[in-house]
Amino acid sequence: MHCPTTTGNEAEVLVAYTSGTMTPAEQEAFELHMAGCAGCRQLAAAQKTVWSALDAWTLPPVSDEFDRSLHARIAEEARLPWWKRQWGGFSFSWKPAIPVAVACAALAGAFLLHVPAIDNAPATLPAVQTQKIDADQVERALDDMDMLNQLDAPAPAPARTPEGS
Amino acid sequence: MTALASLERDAELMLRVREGDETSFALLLNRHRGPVMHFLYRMVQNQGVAEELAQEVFLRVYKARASYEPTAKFTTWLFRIATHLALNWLRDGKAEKAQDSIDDNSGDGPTRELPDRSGTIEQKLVYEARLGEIRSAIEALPGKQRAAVLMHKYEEMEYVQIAGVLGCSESAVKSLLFRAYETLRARLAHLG
Repeated sequence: MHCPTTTGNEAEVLVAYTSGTMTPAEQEAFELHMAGCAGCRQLAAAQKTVWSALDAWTLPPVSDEFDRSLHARIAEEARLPWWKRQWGGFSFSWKPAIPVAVACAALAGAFLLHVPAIDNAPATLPAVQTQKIDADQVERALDDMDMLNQLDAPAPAPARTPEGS
Repeated sequence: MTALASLERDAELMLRVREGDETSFALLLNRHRGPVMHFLYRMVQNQGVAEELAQEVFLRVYKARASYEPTAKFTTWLFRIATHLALNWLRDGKAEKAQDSIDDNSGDGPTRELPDRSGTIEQKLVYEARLGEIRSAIEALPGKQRAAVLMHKYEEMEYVQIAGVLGCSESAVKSLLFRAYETLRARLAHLG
């Protein structure tokens, strides 16, 4: 058997061993392994201590009053008007409302603060504006070159037609 | 009665309760009153509160009888209600107020563990001290870890059923349980 601490499932093996849910074959294999593994022996001993300690926490039987009180509550419930029976089970505690209110306020604030940001600069716009500027620059450069050509200054031939572009 | 037969019987009884059979409700109550009560006591560690919550569990079962469908095990449903009520109670912070009543044995809901009728006074003191450590260790666990340990240890529920009660995956239950047991080993190993 591989050591459970090396396979990462030592917790599951320990719990299964101490709770007695292992098969006889699994139990025998684990006990054989523990004979040679101090780490697993120590863990198993600690888990058995926990198990025994929890076993010691015994409670008395439920009081005789329990059933009588329950039936009284059931009878009282039956006497309520139907709308109260339907909705009376809901207890509106205000405590859960605080984080909900804070979350709503945070969302509202984020929305109000975010709306101008939409108008300013979403990620796509700068790229579009950059391309437009580049196109204008190119066009101006070509116009300059045409002017230079008209002045008989040596200039490279434009790559595209000046009109309608 | 085998476990499977018992589970089928629970569903069968609850279906009869749905049809108006009060005797079947009494049978279910008789069978599950103790486990639910003890689970809640170990969760909230206050007898009076545990009794009130346990009654609320069965009251809700009774009120829901008309719409009951055996889509899950009856005990899964029962302990889901109990866990929900206990976690709500713990979340609402009443545990802190009730702890005072545990410590000074005053107020409503005095604790009622089984008294140790045998042994010397010294043995009784040792027993009480050990019990105090166990209760403190359980109380120190977060709510869901506490519930998982109690269902696993005392109700002998399998991982898949605990997952059904807590509304999470089986792997999440294992994570909760193993973390809880690791914490308990650290706190209680010296009792061995």
